[in-house]
Amino acid sequence: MALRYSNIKVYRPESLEEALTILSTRKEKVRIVAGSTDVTVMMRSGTIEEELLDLSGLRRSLAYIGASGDGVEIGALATYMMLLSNVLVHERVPLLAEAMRTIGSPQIRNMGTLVGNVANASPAGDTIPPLYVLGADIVLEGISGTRNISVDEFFLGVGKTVRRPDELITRIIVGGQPPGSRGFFEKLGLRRAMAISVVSVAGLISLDHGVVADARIALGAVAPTVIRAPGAEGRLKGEELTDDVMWDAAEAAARDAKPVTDVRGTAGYRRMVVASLVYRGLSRVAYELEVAGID
Amino acid sequence: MNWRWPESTSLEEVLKVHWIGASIPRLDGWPKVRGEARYPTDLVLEEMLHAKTVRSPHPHAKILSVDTSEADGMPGVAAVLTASDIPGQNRYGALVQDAPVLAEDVVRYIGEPVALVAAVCEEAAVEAAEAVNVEYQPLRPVTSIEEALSPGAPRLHSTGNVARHTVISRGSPHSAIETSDVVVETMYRTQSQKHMFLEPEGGVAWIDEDGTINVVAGGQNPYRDKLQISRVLGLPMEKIRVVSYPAGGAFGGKDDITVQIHLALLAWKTGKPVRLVWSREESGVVGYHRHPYRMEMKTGATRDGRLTANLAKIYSDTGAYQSFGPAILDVSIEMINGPYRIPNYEIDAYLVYTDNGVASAFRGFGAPQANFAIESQLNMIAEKLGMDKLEIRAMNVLGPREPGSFGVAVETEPSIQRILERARGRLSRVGTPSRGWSRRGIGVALAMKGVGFGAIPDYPAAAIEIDPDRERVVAYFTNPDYGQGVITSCAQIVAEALQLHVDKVEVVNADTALSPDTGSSSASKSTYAAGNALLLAARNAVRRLALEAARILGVPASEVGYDAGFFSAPGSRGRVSIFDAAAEMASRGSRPRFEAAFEIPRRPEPVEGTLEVPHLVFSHALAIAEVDVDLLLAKAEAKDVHLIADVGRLINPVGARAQMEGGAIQGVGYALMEEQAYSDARTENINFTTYIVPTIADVPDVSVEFVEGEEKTGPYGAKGAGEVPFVPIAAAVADAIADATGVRPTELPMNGERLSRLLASAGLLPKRLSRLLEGA
Repeated sequence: MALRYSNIKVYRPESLEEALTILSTRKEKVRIVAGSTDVTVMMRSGTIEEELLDLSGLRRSLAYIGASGDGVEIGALATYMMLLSNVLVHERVPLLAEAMRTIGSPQIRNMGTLVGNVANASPAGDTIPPLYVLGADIVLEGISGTRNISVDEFFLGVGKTVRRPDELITRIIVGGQPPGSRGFFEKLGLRRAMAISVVSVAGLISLDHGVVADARIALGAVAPTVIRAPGAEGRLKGEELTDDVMWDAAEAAARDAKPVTDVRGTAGYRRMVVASLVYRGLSRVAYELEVAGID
Repeated sequence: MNWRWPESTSLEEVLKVHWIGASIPRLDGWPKVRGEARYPTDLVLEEMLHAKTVRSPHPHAKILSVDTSEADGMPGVAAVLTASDIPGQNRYGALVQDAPVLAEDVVRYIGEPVALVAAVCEEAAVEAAEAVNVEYQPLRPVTSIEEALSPGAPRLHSTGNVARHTVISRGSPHSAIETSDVVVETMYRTQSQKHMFLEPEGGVAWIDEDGTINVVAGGQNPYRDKLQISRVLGLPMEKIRVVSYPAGGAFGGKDDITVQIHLALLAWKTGKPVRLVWSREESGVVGYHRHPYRMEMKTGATRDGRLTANLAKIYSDTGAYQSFGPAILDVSIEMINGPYRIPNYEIDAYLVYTDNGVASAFRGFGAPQANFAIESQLNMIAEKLGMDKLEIRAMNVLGPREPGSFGVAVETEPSIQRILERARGRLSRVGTPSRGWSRRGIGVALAMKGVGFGAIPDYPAAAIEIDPDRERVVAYFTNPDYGQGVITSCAQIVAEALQLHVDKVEVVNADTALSPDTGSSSASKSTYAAGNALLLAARNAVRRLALEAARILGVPASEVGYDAGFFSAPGSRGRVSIFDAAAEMASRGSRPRFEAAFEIPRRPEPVEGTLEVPHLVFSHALAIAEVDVDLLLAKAEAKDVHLIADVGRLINPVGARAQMEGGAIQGVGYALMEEQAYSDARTENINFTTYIVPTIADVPDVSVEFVEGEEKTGPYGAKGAGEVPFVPIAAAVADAIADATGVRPTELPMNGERLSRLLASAGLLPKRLSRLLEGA
């Protein structure tokens, strides 16, 4: 049955409490709307509930960015553009900023929110791999309480998360990039802008005298959720970033990936691209180290 | 009459005058950039019904029954129409009427219309459309050219799966190939491309007090649309009015019928205004697309680079119906030897039915596919012989007035030679050198595109009205302006012809009630066709109004001359403005409106086996592309495209440049990313998210230089600019990739998926990546 726009009921709460009350009664019947860049698409394709919970009345309390420990706290209504023009974001989580610059177009970045990108739970969501490697807590609030879920426990599958239908993600607390670590975000889309990732890769490499002390690599668009690449991470730890090591890690990451064939690419091509992007990201780190004279 | 007519005007005199070669802003530009222009899909009429099309979910199926009873009884539903409601002929098609307006017994592509619904609101129409119960018996679909031609394939039409087969040959091609010093043999494949105009197919229709059906929808040939509506509705032509202006883009995709017949049917049956607009996704599934091709080429040359023979097998996938398929195949046939002297050739061309939607006209009209093949062949021969790629072209290109493959010349003055001369020295990289994983390559291709319909008769007619009250000249013609700028170029031509300021000229575009039939906006001919017709109409206007002026001046008409808007005579005091002369005419009850028709020059008979070969007028363009290939990501990016073109005299240089730039950009999309992929006759690339067109971030630096020839048969020397810039881009980009990597792509688009496999097969991809790609 077609969706009748005139039948859509829109709630527009003026306070968080009101929002949570609506959620506690309407639960899965209602779709939460922040920047509306995904919801609009779902409405067109008719795959959406007939009730919307429009958060725009909560901008005053939820459109914020703040410091939290050595990281940043991002309110549910902080748009990409707000984040990209925030100095804390650039200082503490430059990797996240790098990823957000590749999202959509200026119009999308003006409207879309990072929390919305997380809540939508697409494996191709470009902010998610950086959150995996930086470490992040998703804060879920419901009428009966608040809980913090680590990002690597948050996603269950395509569009599926541990969020209960009566809960709202009110903020995300992202860990800062450790001093001395180097991050990278690499993405391949089918064009240079307005492109959904064929594959995306985020990496965070901590080095001690030229030796990899810690390596975290996350892969987007190659499994039902964003995944870490344990094989690649294991190959890097305790090693110097030689060409062989980087290629081994790239290949291991490709084997960690579980891509499917879809409208954007075949599984074999995607697996290759994982290795290309991991190698490229690691090469950038190695090159930066060389240029900076750090060993 | 001492004022000389344009065809006798010398080049020097043309350059002295005001409006030819003036880059005036588009006359319809301001309202469009301000968002004030009202496109057909923006129109809202009082008590308007909303329509929805019931479409086949199967690529090939027998219709067992259509039950509309549930939909009929739904609230708000005004009409549910099926094939049995069609009063006239239930077939349409630009060349051959082979496509059902509403399917009767068989459906041949996903989305083929089976029924129409009109209701008081869009949602009610959607719900009623879903309630139409169609019982299908699915049949095995034909999903590719190869399958269509294989024995035992389902037959899509009673005549089989070959819509047309044409063989044309000259000399002894097979023995000439055998004795050639070098032979290049290659198979090429090109993809289906979507037009992706911003305004999807759609419009409104209503019935006048006098019973005329008005249809306003984006289109490219309002008179042909009117004819097709009249056949289906069984109504006389004068009962139908079609308006096709403005259209939010077309590129060929609105040349054949889209919504026009359905709109007219619904308005006729309900007696009410009705709106029918395809959603983006509907447009994606059922809108037209460019024909995918398979081309098997064998081209020979002597040791010193002279072409000896060309063997070309061309297979074109027209989808379920012919639309423009046969004419498009003609253009491919005409282009497959390029503008070259090839003494021996054999062209074996097939137009094949499949269940892959319906292919139709698209910028280039069969030329881009053929160009990709022949220009790649030429570049490979040059490589084999170690020859300069411009040199091999200069050596083989036909001279001015030299009869080519089809007995006519591809140029009347040394146009291609001038282009090649300008290109000299440009085939060296201007951008950043290769570094890291990135390899920079530079490539070249030369293209031509016929202007007009070749041997098919075409008599564009137009009118000019001199309005004495408002002191304006109104130009009437029907080639729609869908963004290419024909309104502005024609206003300039009229201003020039009447020696008036262009501000005095107004245009009424693409309205069958107001204007004679000027034909289509297609085949790079709208300015050429309408411009010529308007020039003749202007001549008639001045001739006729000179009689009125003579009467006012009291002199014999033979003594009256015309200059810059005024008639005068030697020895007679005073002068008469063209508007006063028109007022004089109007005062006696005659309307100062002047029509004329132009005959586009053609050969009386087409080359045997074709409809429109040969053309007599061609535009030419050479493209030089610089491309970066990333060997780690297997990705190609066009960085720079330079076009050198002869499109005749430029009426509006900025407009002509915009056509060149747009063509280059759309060509880069065709070369590198755009593809409507069909799998089992289904496509998923149906909107701007999944069908990838270049964004501004993907656009290379595009530069354009014109070699301004003067086309003797063109209005003030103009030819056509719409298509030729698109044609050479894919071959030039492929050549740049070959230059960068040493391997040559032969399939379009050259996206990462294809390029990675090509590079892997040549051992150019890192070994570990190749293994992953192969699934090892």
